[in-house]
Amino acid sequence: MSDAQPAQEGDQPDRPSLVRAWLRVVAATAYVPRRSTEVRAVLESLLDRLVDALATEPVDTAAGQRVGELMVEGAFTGEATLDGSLDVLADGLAGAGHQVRPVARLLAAVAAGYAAALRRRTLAQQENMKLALLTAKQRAERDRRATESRFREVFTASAVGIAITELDGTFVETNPALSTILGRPSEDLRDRTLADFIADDDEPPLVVGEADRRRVVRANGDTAWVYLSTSMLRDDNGVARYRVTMVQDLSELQLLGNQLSHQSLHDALTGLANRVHFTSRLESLHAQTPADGALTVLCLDLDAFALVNTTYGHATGDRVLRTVANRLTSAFAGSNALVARVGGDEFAVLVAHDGAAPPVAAMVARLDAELTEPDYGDGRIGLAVSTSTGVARCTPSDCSGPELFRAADAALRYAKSLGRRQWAEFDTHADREARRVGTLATELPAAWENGELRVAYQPVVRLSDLAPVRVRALVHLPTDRDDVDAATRLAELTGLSVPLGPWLLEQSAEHLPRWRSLFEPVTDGEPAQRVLLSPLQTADTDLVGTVTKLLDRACVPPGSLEVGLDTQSVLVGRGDAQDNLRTLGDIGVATALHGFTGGPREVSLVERFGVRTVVLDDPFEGWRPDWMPRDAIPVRATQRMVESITFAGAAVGVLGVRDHAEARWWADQGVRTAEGLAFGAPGPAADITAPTRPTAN
Amino acid sequence: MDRAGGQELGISRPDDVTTWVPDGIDLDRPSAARLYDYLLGGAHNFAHDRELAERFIKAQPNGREIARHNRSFLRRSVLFMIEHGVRQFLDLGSGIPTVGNVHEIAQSADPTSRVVYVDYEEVAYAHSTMMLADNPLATIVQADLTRPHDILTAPQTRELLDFDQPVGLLMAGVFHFVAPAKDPARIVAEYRDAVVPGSWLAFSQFTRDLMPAEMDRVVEVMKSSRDPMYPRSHAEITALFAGFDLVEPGVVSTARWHPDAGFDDGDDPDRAGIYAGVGRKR
Repeated sequence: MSDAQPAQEGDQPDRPSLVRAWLRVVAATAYVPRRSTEVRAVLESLLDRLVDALATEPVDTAAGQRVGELMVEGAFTGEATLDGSLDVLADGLAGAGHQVRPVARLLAAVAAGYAAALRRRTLAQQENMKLALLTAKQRAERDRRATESRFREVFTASAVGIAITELDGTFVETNPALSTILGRPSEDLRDRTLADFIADDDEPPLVVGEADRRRVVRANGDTAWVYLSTSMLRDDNGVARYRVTMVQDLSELQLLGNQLSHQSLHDALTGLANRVHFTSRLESLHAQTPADGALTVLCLDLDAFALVNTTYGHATGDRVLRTVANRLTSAFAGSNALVARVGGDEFAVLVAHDGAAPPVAAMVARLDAELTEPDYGDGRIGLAVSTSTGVARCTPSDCSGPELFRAADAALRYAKSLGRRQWAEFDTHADREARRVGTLATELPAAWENGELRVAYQPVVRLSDLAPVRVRALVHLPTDRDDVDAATRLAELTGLSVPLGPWLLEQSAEHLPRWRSLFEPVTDGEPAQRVLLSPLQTADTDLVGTVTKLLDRACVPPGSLEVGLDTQSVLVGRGDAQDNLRTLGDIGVATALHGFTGGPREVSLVERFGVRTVVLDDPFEGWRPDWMPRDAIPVRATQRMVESITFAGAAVGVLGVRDHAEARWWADQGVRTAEGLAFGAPGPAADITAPTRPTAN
Repeated sequence: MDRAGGQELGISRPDDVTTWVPDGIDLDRPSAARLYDYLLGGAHNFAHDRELAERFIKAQPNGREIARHNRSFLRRSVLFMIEHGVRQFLDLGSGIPTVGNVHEIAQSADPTSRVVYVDYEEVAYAHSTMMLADNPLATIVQADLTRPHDILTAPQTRELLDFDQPVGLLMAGVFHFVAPAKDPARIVAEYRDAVVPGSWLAFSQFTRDLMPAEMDRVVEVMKSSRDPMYPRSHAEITALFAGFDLVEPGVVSTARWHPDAGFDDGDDPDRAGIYAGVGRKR
């Protein structure tokens, strides 16, 4: 309606009909996602701009171009919209008494502005489309690559011969096992058919889906019995494209049977006992050793072995492993000992002592000297190997075989946390301490051994509105006890907490995507899960690797995870603590510090490492701050600490908040997040529910 | 090793896209979503899509207007539901986001409105994900709308939609891609049973009733695409509203459903090619 705008001189009588005509053109040619009244208002304002432009001398073509752009912005972009609009406008404006020449110039500018804007919009949409295609492609590629690499692994590693053939039987691809069975390299199989190698031509053809026995002819003229089974590979439309034939060597199968008992107890590369053999031997030696006799278990891990593999190749890596195996075997040649390879680059030695056992330190020193002697192998490169070693020793009455092995393993992990070429003995004092605490001492390790530990989650809330914004993952004992802290301290003393850290991170991967989608609507990119690490876990050499693996598995961005490191360990530079904090921050994990006492050196850590959050753990040692006088020294000291942390650039969180009154107190001090009984105890993942959605503003 | 690469499959690409389309994308098969975008004047489409669109328009010269009417019906039905108190929508077969998306319409009426889009096509999914990255109240689920269970139990759906409150089910211009063998009545019923009484269904799809000759030609054209079409009669479409009370004026051509008179009802409403209706769950 014309009453929406002040009437312009000269065009008054024609204006409503011009707008109506223009609206008809738009309605008939373009999809504009608005009501007609809104579209009419837009067209009226565009018309005002045009009339104003005609009133200037010379005609304001920039305003005309702007009108063209606004048409595109308003989605007046049907195929015939511009054409129709210019028609209507030319008639209408000329009819209103404007000169033909300025009107023509102005409308040309409208068309130019429209064309430029439309081109920009098209390019932007194509750019978006390109990104979308790329994303879609990457997703598909990733899925396909995963499938393909799984297939490759099965195909090449299989002991069963596999042939992919054309429908007429011509080989397309064959795996190494098939070459072995037929006694011919894969090049010799190219362009030939499977039938060429079958001894008896008169046998009926193989039925798809059924297995049958056949004889094949090897390169040397021998024949061998095989089991053949065949199936079809179909394309997306279900049309058979290739045939897959599995070839199982029956003679091989029998040979294998004989080797099976040896292989199942020995490591193929080094010839040493494997883990299964080692543990069963440990059990039987444990039973045979007299009550006052001693057993020692040493666990050894090659330092930076991955580096040897990547630098010199796997052949060299294998050679190093064989050398270590030989040297260990010769070092214990005169003793009642068993040397085993229990992991990729991990070895274990079990020694049963007749009479007095030599001091542990002497045993380790002798081994170390033996192992660090450079290995010249084929005479070219001398590789010196260093190892980290964990040792445990006990009498059969003191501990069981598995406990002894676990203790040595825990000591190894502890040694690794100290750096390279370190050794550690399982701390029997800690163990004795543990015994005093009673059943607890055995509970955690036993629960760990038996796989009874669970991950529990506890909500972390934002103090400003008490909305849950993330969860903290904790190790949960199967029994309901309140001295979990004591168990955790013991785990730290005995070294068990080192494997517990990766375990907790790995287990929590399963739920992390859920937390992320649960909290994303309220948190705006903040981390969705918190894990607080003990001093040993903080110093762990493998921490970054464990975290990266977790993120890969959960397929979430690093910022979804908040990892809290132990402040003291970082401060004194224990093990890899500082590297861990720096690297975690660099890869985008939200870093935090806990166990903070507020010293100036601690605060400067916050700034130096760009720590995102500082988590305070009960700075009032059990007292309620909201009940203390406002000017009490501890209260003021804590306020200063919060201020200085905030000034250093980190948010402050607090643990162990008992109720909402205490929560309010912390909120008033500028603390951002809190967890504690006030907001829910640790529980199974299913207990955590979605935060309430923010309501309308 | 790029086995899915276009070269290997012998696809030659039209020149105009070689400069900006990443390698390895299969543009060989036109998609209905990109065809619809083209008819609405968007640029989210490729030569194969446009080629199909031109054949579509040859078969149905009113193609662009039909697309506009359907999009316009979607907008009016969303606003209608908003007026009746609905604040959450499940848009099934949302396609490539063109102009006037459901979350834009709903959230400009009430910013707290929540929208879950559903599409099974990779590119539509990726595109929507990008567009919705900053919108916490709208999301997309990549799933086949003929498998309601997958969609109704998807974490994104459960998170964003409150199934104790009325939901607006949107099935605009999509069921003509659902073959009779998939049992469309069962599909609609499964969605219906998942929402509370007082929820709404907006439904539109191609019909032979309005322009039979053109419709037959369109069906023929679409046979060559990855999305063949199955038009349905007035009675068949009305039957899909089982369990819903159709609001006035019932199942009618899109242009006749609560039009903005003189603006989006077009010259001849019966040339809109698509039947539409809105119902309220009993």
